[in-house]
Amino acid sequence: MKLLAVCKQEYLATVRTRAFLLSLILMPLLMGASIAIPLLGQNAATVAARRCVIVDRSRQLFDALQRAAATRNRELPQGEHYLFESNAPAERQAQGLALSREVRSERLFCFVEIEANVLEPAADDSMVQARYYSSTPTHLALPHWLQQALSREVRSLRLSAHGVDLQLLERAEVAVSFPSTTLYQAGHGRRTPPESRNPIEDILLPLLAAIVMFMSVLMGATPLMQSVLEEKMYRIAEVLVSSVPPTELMMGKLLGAIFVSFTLLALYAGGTGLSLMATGIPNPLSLIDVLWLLAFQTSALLMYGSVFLAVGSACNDLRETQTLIMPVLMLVMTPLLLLSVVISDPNGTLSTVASLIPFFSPILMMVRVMLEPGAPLWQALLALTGSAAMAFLCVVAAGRIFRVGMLSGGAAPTPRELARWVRRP
Amino acid sequence: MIHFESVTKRFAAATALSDLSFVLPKGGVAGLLGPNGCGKTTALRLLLGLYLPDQGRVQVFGTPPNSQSSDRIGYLPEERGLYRRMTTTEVIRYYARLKNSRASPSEIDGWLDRLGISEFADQKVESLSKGTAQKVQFVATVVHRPQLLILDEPFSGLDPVSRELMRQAVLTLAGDGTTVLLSTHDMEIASRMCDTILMLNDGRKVLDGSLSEIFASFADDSIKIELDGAVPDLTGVLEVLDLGTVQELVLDAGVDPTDVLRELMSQTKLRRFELSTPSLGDIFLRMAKS
Repeated sequence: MKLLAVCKQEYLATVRTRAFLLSLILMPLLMGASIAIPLLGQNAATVAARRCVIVDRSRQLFDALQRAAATRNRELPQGEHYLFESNAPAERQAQGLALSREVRSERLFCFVEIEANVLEPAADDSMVQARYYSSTPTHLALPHWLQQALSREVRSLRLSAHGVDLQLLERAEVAVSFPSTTLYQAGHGRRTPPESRNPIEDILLPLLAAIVMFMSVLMGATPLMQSVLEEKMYRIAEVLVSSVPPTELMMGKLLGAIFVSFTLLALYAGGTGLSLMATGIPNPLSLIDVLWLLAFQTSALLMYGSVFLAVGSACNDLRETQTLIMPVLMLVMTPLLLLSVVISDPNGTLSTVASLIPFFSPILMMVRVMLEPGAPLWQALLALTGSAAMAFLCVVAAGRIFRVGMLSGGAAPTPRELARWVRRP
Repeated sequence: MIHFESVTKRFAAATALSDLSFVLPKGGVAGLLGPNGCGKTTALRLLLGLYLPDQGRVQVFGTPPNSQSSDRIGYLPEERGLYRRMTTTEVIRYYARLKNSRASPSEIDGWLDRLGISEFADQKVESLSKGTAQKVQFVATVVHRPQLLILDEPFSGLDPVSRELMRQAVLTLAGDGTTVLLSTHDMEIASRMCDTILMLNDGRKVLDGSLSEIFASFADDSIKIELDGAVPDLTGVLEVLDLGTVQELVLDAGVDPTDVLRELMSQTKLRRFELSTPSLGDIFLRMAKS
C-alpha cells in the first residue's frame, strides 16, 4: 500500500508538470525537425540564380557545360538555377583579379578556370586542370556538380577522340536492376510471391523503437534523480524514510518511473498507430514486438532508474549530481552510438556481443529482435535475463546507497565511499 | 513503550551514544534534553529504525523498530520537510498514506481549524509562511492518530500565539493517551510540559526520572548570596556560579546550608542569603558543564 502511494505520487509529480507535457510534444517535434530540416534545406532555394563565369582555355567545354547546366536547372528546386557565362581567356592575373572583384561584390557567385590541357589525362595528382574560385567555400553543391559534369564531358571528348561510339557505351554502362526482395514463403496451401522492399522502411521501425526507448528512459529516470534531490534539499527525506522502509520507497519511485515511461510509449506508439491507420498503412508492430519492448523497457528503467536514484540520494545539490551523472549518461548513450553497426550487420559478432552487455541489451537487442532476420531467441532471452539480473544488482546496490545517502549531508561521497556504502548497508 | 538497553552507536571514529539504557512507559510527555551533539537525534533515529545500534537493543511497542511500528509513530523532525508544489491538503493526505492511514477530509479540516490555518487548505506549500508550514507539518505528523508522537524542537521559530496553540494541541493529544517524546533545548517548555526527563550529555545518560523527582533531588542543594568582595573558600561547596551581582553556591550532598551561612558570616560582610531550588535550565547547565 505504501509502495503504491509512493508510486502514484512519483507518477503524478512527473506527468503533471508543464516540463513533462512540453517535452512530450517537443521531443517528437525536435526529432522530426532534425530529420525534416536538412531534407527541406536540400530542396529549398536560397538564391534565385548562381552566376558563374567559365574561362575555358581549352575552348571545347563551355557549350557542353552550359547544356548540362540547363538540364540540371530542371532538377533544381524552383527558383534556383545555374547561370553560366563564358569569358574569353585573357592574361591570367588581370582576368583573375577582375573576376574576383565581381565575386566579392556579389555580382558573381563563382568563376571557373579550365586549363588548356584538360583533355590530357593528368600525369599525377599535383597537375591541376581546372580551378573553382568562390568567396563561399562552404557551399559544396555547385562545385561538386561542376566537377562531375566537367569530368563527364572530358571523358566523352577523350573517348570520341579515340572513335568510341558513345551511345553504345552509355547503353552498355546501364546498371543491372537489383532490388532487395523478400524471401519466398509457402504455407496454408498457398505460396506467397516475393516482393521488392525498401531497406529504409525495414530499419525505420527498429530505429524509432530504439529512439523512443532511449527518450522514455531519460524522461522516466531523470525526474527520479531530481525528486530525490528535492527530498534531500527540502528535508523531506527524513520524514519519508521514517515512514517507509528505504527499499520500499525506492521501489515505489522506480515503479512510478516505469509507468511514466509506459505512458510515453503508449502515447507515442498510439499516435504512430493512429497515423498509420489514417494513411492506410498496415501496422508493422506485432504483439511479440510489443511484449519484448515492454520487457526490455522495464529492465532498462530498473537499471538506469536505480542508478539515477542512487546518484540523487548521494548528492546534496544539482552541481554535485552533474559530476556523478556524466558516466551514467555515457552508458545510456553508448547503444545509440552502436546503432549503425547493429543495423548494418544485426547478427555480426560486434552486434551480438554488444547486445548481450546488460547495460546495452534493452536498446540493442530490441533493435536486433525487430530487424530481419531477427535475433536468435536464445540470445534475446539471454539478453533479457542478463539485463534483469543487472537490474536486480543495481536496485540492491542503489538501495544501500539510498538508505545511507538520504540521511547524509556534507560533501558528496567519493566513489570509494559509495563502494563502502554498498558493501556495508 | 520504548526500551533502550545498553545501546551504543558509532559513526566512524565518533561515538554518538554510549551504553544508553532507559525505559519510557506508555502515556504522558517525556522530555529528551541535552546540549547540541549529545546524541538526541541519533537516539530518535534509532527509535525510528533509521539507524541500527552497534551494540545493545532498541525496542518500541515491544519489538525492534519496523514498518508496522513506524505506522504507530508520528515524527516531527527538527528540520521540517514538505513538498513545495503540493497543496496543504495534498501533503497531509500523502503523509497519512505513508502511515497506512486514510485521513478523511473532515479530520484534516478539523486539525487545520484547530491550528487556525484552515484558509490555507488549498494553497501550495511554497506559498506558506515558515510558521504556517510548521503547523502544516505538525498536522501531517498527527493526522494518522499515532500512539507515540516524537517531536524534535516543535516550537522553534513560532510566535508566542502559535506556540501556545501547538502546546495545547500536544497536551490534548497526551491527555487522549498519546505518548509524547519531546526533544528540545527550551527548558521553560520542557518544565511546563514534561512529566519525565531524560537528559543526555556526550552520548551518555546524565539524568533520568520524573520532573518532580528531579526537582526534589536538586532542592536546597544550592544557595544564592550577595556579599562585598570575593567568595572565600568554603567547606562543602562544590562550585561557585557567578550570576552577576549574585553568586550561586552549589553544595555537596548532605551539607547543611546553615553551616555555610555561619562560615560566610564569620569571613565576609553578607548582604543577602537565600536557599535556592534550581530551575530545569540551571540543572541542564550544570549537567552540561559536568
